[in-house]
Amino acid sequence: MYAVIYIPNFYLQAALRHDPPGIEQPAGLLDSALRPSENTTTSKQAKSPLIQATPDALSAGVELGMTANQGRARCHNLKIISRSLTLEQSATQALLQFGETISPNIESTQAGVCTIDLRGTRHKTKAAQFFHEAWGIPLRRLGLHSQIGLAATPELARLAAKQATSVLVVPPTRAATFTFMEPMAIEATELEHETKTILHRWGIQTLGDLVQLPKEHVIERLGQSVLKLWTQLSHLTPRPLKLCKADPVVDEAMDFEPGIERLEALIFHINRFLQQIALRLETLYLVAGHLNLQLRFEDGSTHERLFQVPDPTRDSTILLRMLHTYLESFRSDSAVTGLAIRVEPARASERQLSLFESDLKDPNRFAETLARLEALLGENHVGSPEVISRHKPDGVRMKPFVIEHSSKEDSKSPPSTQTGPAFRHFRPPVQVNVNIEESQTGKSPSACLYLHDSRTSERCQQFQGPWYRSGNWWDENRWSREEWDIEMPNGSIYRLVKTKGRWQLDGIYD
Amino acid sequence: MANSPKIVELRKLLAGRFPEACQEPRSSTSPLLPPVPDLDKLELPRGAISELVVSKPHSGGATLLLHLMHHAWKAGQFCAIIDAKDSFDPTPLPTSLQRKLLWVRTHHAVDAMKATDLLLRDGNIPFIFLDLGLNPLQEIRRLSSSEWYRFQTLVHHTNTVFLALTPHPIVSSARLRIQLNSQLSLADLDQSTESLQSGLKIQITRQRLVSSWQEEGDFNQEEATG
Repeated sequence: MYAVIYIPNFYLQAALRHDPPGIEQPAGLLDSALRPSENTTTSKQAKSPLIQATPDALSAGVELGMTANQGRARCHNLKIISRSLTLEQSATQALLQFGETISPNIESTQAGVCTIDLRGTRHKTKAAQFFHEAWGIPLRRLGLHSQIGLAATPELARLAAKQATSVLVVPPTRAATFTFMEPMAIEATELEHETKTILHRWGIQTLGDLVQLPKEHVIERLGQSVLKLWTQLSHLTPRPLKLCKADPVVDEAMDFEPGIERLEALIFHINRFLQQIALRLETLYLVAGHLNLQLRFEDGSTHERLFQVPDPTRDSTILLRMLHTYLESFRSDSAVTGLAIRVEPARASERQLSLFESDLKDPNRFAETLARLEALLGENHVGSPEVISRHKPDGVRMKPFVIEHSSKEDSKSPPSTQTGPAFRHFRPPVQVNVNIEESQTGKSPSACLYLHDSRTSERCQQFQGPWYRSGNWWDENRWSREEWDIEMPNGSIYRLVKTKGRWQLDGIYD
Repeated sequence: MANSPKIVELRKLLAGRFPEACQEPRSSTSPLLPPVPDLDKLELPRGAISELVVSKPHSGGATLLLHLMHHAWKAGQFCAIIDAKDSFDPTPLPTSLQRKLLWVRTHHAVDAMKATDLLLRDGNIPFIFLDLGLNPLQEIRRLSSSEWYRFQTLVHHTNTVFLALTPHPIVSSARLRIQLNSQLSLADLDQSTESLQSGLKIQITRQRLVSSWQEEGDFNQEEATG
């Protein structure tokens, strides 16, 4: 048993998928495919013929093949849409991903046609009921108005899909199959036009007439293409499917003409995309693990940003908030002409924390707060510290704060061997002038310290040092320094450093 | 004005009529008596602001902060430090603690207050430390007192421990105020950090057991007499 999901007017439906009411209004699709790299000119559009139209447009007198102006002359409120390859690709992926939820054996037969091998799946027995439900809810929510056919072979299933208003099931018995195909016109098949003309000349108008022909005559006079069809129809022999895999990434993309200049308008489109993505993820029983935002600008530049969803979810509101927070602080001189959102799906977390484990209450909200903090303070000012070298002075760098599941085990560490009080860095170090005077005994010299911005000098009470430290002597980043710990009359203990012939206060012990 | 006897009396009257408005907080500290003999017994209140006053920059405030971070880490909790003068040194922290620490680096008290506001509103991090220890007093005094009251309102509905390290008592809405009176010396640099932490002289100068303002007058009186 095979199922075929057929999307009539696929290019038009793909273009209107993010504008659901559009399919109910008069609209026509021009054959001028809008590629991301090229801008379709108005003159080119004017000459392009309408290749698909909504039922409302057709009933208003618009005919396929007309130009946009001719169409508007028949129907004044005709909405003219250009083909969008990016939208068609998204729609194709949505269709294939839906097909994959039914069976792993799927074929992308044509644009807007997905053939599904139901053999060995649980849908084989109650296929009709399942597809009625699928036609009713999931596919419509994906923005695809479909026709579904089920039959013993892929060809028959496709014929059934084209005949169906919603779901048409041809029972896989010889009698039922013949009853279904006997009155069907030859035009419904995918045979070449010349072959169809020959068959008409012979007086063969229907598929019922075709299967009456002797096999030898079909081979001799009509060739392999008709023989394949004849064999499939008369013996109910299924052809092997050209199996394909749906892209595991859920993405939606759109090009804008003219470009979008305001954040509100961009957010409106992003919201629609995310709602669509959420529906697709729901169909796949997955959640969003990573979110990739791609923007293309009028000046040809692009911007890409990858977001990790801390607590994978398919809640479009949470995902939107994440992107909105980021875009609020994003600035560009050019209008946005292209938008793409790619979601790497993940399985929903099923981890249950134990009694002694704790976690963030709302990781997604926290990620949003981190984004706000970054927007407020700058990118390198928020994160987790990472000590890259305990030997090098202030050998610390920032790394992005990663929300990890915390456990009691992490908190077990060997006893601390740290000595001394905590240190506070002066970033940047304070430049000072130092005068070291030899003492009378020669063992404990006293030092006078002059602050750089002050005329006053202050004698330190006690000091220790110097300690010599150096590193990276093998490359151009070599450094060396003398360090002193000095105690001033007010009790403050500073780390005094001499490096490259200059004195500086590195920080204070606290 | 706030300590006027009439206002204190009015507050007590209102507290008697509307006790639900002056309920005990969901969690409060265990009673502490100043001075704190053992640092491990220092329990910071949840859902309230604590203030650590470090009048001298060498009193061991940063050392105490490290101890509190360890405490949070041992409880398996995340913590955040808002470093208002970009002076924090994370080198002594174990790597697993560093991973659970959010370090917010600013150079001005105003930015630090904005960052604190965001983190308190977020409510995800259970331990938040605001370090104003090295900021000039003039800069800190310029902060509006209403900001601290806003923080109090934000933190009140959470289980967050929020400690502000300041060089002068400025957090009027602090439920717990502790003063560090230690004096580090050059010889202390060779001591183990643990023994230094246990030797810190901590004095509690304010402790509100009830979150309501009815006790404000009493405690202010305590401070005045103390």
